[in-house]
Amino acid sequence: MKNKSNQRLALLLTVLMLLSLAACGGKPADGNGGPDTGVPPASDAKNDVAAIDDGITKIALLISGDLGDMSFWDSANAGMTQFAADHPDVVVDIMELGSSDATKYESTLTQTANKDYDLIIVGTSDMREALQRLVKKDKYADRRFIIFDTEIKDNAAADYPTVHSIMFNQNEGGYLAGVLAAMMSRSSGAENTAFIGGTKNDIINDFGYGFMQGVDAVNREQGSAIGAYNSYIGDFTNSPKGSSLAAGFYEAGVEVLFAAASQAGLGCIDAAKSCGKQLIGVDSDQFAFYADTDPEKAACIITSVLKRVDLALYDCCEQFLEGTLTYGDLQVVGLKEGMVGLVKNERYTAAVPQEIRDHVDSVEAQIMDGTLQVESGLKRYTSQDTLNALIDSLDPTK
Amino acid sequence: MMRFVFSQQFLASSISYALPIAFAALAALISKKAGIVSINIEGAMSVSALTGALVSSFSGSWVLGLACAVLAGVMMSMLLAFSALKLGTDSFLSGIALNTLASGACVLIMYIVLGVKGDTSAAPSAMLPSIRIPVLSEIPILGVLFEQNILFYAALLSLGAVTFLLGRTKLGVDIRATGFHAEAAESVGIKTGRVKTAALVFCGVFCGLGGAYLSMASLGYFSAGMVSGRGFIGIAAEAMGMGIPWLCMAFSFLFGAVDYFAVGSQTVLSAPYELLNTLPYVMTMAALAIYAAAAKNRAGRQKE
Repeated sequence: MKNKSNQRLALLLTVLMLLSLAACGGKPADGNGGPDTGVPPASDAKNDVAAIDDGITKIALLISGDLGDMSFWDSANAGMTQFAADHPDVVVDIMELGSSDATKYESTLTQTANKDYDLIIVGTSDMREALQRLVKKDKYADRRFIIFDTEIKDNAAADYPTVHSIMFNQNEGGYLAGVLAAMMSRSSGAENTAFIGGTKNDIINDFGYGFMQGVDAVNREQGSAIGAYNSYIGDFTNSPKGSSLAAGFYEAGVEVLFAAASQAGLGCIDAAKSCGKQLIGVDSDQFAFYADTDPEKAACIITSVLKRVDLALYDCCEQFLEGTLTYGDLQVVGLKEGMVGLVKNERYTAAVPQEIRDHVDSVEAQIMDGTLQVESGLKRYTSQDTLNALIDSLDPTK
Repeated sequence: MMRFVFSQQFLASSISYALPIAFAALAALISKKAGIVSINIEGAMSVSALTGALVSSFSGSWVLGLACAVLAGVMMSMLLAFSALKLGTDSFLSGIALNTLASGACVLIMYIVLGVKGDTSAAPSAMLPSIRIPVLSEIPILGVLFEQNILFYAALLSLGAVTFLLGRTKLGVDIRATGFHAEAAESVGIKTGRVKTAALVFCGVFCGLGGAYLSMASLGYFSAGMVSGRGFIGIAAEAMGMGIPWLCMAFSFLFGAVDYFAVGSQTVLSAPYELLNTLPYVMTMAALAIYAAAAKNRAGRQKE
C-alpha cells in the first residue's frame, strides 16, 4: 500500500513538473521550430556545430526576459517580426527565455550557436558574459552576433571581432522627458516631479541622469525650482510595488512622473489612472498599447520616451543581409539617428500646451545639431558622485 | 519622517500591502491547525488572482470575478488535498509542485486567453469596490480605516470567523485535535481525512480572497509573478503569530507596514533604496529571533 502510494507520488510529481516545464519553457514565439530551451544543452565536448553555408540565412533573437512588457522586449520582438515579414526568404526565430531563470541563458545561447544560425541577436548586459565566453571559442568563428543595449565589453568591442554592439543614448530621451515633466509640473502648479527606475543599473541611471539634467535645465533657464524625486522599485517585475510607489508620489503632490521600469512600470501607469495624474512612459508608445483596451488609462500617458530597439535591430539585419554590417565595434544611436525620442501622438498634442511642445522641439533641435550635449549616466563616462550630486540637488527630501 | 509614518496615506497603503499577507496568514493558520503544511498558498493565490482578473474583466462583474477567484483558490487547495490526503503524498513536496505548476499555468492560461505572457492589462479587471462608512470615516487619520476596500472588512470578518470556528465549534475542535495528534483524534471517532479537507477548503477560500485583492484592488490587472512571495510571508506571519489568529493578523499588518515603508519612504527619506529594500527581510529575521527566544523562555519555564 505504502509502496503504491509512493509510486503515485512519483508519477504525480513527474507529471506536474513536466506540465510546468512545458508551460514556462521558452518556445519559439513564431512556433516554427528552433531550440527547445526546456531541455539542457548538448555538451560542448561533442563537436556538433552545424554548418551554416547552406544557402539559407537564419537569424535568431534570444529574448532574455519576458514578452508582454509593452516596452523593451516587445519592441525587439516587433522589429524582428517585421523583418521576418518583409523578408520571407530569411528564417527568423525568436526565442523567449523568461526572466525567472537566468541560468538558462548561457546554455540556450550555446545551443542556438550550435545550430545553423548565421546571425544571433541577444540583448542587455545579462547576456554579456555568456556571449563573451562563447565567441572566444574558435568553432563559432563563422557566426555573427549582435548584442544590443550594452557593449560586449566596456570600451573593448574591438576584442570581439564577430560581435556588433549597439547602445542607445537613452539619456537624450530622459532629458526630453525631464524638460517636459518640469514644464508640465510648472504649468500645473506642482512643486515636484519624479523619476522611477526598475533597479539602479547603468541603463536606468542613464535615463534618470538625463531626466534630472532636463529638469535642472528648465529650472535654470526659466527660473523655476521644480524638485525631482529619484526612486527605484527594486526589480522590473513587481508591478504592485511600482503602483504604490507612484501613488505615493502622486499623493505627495506630483502631477507628472517618468517611469522606466519595464513591466513593473506598468504598475505606475495603473497608479496614474487611479490617482487621475499623468505619466511619461518608456521604450515603446505605451499610449498606443492602452488606447483601445483602456482609454482612461491611456489618457494618463502624455508621451513615452522611445527607444527604438525595433528599428535598430531591423536596420542591422538589413545591413547584415547586404553584407555591410560591421563587427568588433560599438554603434551608439540616439535622437539624431531617430532611435531615441519622445512620442508625438494625438495624446501628446492634446495634453501638452503648444508653448511647451515648441520648447521641447527646440531642445530636440539643439541636441540634434550638437549645440546641446546631454551628459551620459553610464558609469564609464560619469562617476557615481557626479550623478548623485545632481540627483541630490533636485531631491525634495534633502 | 514621523509625519510620513503617522500619515493617513501610510496607514492606508500599509493596509493595502498587508491584506494579501493577512489572507495568506489565515490560510496558513487554518491548514496548519489541521496538521497540513500548506505551502501551495503562493501558487493558489496566483491562480486566484488570474482567475479573478480574467473573469471580472470578461463578465464586467466584480462579484463574479471574486466568486471565481475563491473557487480557483479552493480548487488549488483541493488539488493539494487530493494528492496529500487521498494519494498520501508529502504535503510539502506536493505544495512545491503545485506552486511550480501555478506559475507556469498562469502564463499558459494568459497566453491561451489573451495571447500575451506578461500581464492582463489589455483586459482590465472590474475593481472591487470600497465601502465608506459615514461619520466614522471623517475621523482624522484613523478615518481611513472606515473607507476601505470590501476585502478589508472581509479580512476582519474572516479573523472573527476563524477565531470562532476554532474556539467554539465542533469542526474547529476536530480540526485542532486532528492537527495536534491525528491518530488520537481518529481513535475517538473523528474522521481526520474529512476534517483536513474541510480545513483546506477554508485555506483555499482565503487564498482566493488574497489573490483577488492583488489583481482586482491593488492593481487593475494580473501580472505574472505578482504574488511575489506574499504567500510565503503570510506563512511566516502565521508562524510568528504562534497560531493565535489575531496575533497572526497583527504580524501580517506589521509586515505590510514595513514592506510599504521600504517603498513609500523614498518620498521622504534619502536613504539608499537598496538598504530600504532589505527592511522587510531584516524585520523577518529579527521577529523570528524574538520568537525563538520567547519559545525557549517558555519551554524553560515549563520545566521548572
